[in-house]
Amino acid sequence: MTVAATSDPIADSAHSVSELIGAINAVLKRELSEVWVYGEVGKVSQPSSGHVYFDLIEDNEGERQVIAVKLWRGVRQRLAPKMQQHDMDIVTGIKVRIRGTPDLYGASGQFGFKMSDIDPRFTLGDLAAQRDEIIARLKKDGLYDRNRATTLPLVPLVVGVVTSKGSAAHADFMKTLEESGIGFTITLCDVRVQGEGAAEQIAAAVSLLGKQPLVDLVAVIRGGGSRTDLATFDNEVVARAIAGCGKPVFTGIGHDVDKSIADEVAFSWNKTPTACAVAIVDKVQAFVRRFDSAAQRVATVVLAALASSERRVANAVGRLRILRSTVLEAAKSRVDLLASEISAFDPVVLMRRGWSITYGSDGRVIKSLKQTKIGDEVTMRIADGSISSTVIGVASVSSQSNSQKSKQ
Amino acid sequence: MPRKKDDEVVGYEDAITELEDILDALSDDDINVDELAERVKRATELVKVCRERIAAAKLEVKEIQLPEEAR
Repeated sequence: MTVAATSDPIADSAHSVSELIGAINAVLKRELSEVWVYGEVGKVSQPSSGHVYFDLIEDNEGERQVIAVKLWRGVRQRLAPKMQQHDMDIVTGIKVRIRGTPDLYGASGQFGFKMSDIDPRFTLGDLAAQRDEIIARLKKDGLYDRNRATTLPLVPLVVGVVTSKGSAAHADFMKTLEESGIGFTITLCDVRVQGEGAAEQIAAAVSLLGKQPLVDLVAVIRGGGSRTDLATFDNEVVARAIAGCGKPVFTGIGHDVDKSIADEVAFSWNKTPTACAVAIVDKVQAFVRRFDSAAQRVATVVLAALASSERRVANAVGRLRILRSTVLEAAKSRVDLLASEISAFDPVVLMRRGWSITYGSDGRVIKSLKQTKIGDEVTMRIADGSISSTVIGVASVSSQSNSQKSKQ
Repeated sequence: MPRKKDDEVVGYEDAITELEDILDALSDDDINVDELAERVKRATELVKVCRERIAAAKLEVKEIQLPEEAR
């Protein structure tokens, strides 16, 4: 554009757009070069160019102040070792302290901040401090141990799962459950596990699954990531949802640094999705073992009882058999003996040999001379009959041969 | 179709308690044969039901969606 008059004072001092932008940037560079600024990371975008753009936010009770930060690919590569060393990344929700220079980008007219450095200690210190504060608040509200006070069913077969569907973490978790051969029922709730809104989604999913009447436990699963990546699980919203969940919550959030706050309040915390699945499988298998052992012992007791009664019956039968033969034998010989003994004394037998018994007239057996006198009538009993006689003489044993006579 | 807990003849907790009670009873020397047979029959039933329920079914997966406002 050409302005003709030389006497125009406005025209002399006017800037073209690019001049103004150049001037602004010069001032910014002079006054605010390489300044440190801190705030919370808002929306992050990472296009394929390798540059990273994010909002740096200060939220003063609802009054948001935002600066658009540009992290050029080159700077990012330079800072990568430092960030890795501290296990951090630029993710939504974390607090950062970064260095750089504000500038106005001519091509878009947008004001921004070119980042050149970061102070990881700020982020990590903030995470730690934030974590302590959240835990203190949870304890104060009686939430810290609340989920651990829920009751885990003896055989948890219906598992609610909060994870990013199709992730490696999800696959690992499912593989372990499947390989157990146990008939689990999975109710999956697909959520974002990082980035904006992730914490709110996880919290909503935990609450939703916790309200399903059939669900035995809720598993919160996430693969490995940097400490700042996992900041979602240090979020108070997530912690409160887990603490307030009516069902026991098992975590399997892949990390090996610290426990996240989600882990702190969970019923059972596990270092990986696989370990989480193993913990659930173990619960069921513990029951199966206990049950099998009881069943095994029942079988043993029954077999022992049967064997023992079988033995007792066999024993009794055997003893009875022996008893029967010996007793009978003994009885038989005793009877035989008795019989022979008795027969030896049977007067009939004796009479057959010629013995007789003499009865007086009074019917009494005459055993002595004193019981009779001459003229007495006596009866002699012999084997096949009796003889009636009159005593005609008596003699004692010494004169028996001539005196003891009886007249028929 | 997910299993319904309401349909369960007996809960796992009750099942194991009953089985362990049976075991106690069986360990008693004075148990008579009729009672023994009765108890063993019940124990066998319990074992069968629990084993089938835990092991027979295949892994089942269903999905539940977050409500619109939470997505």
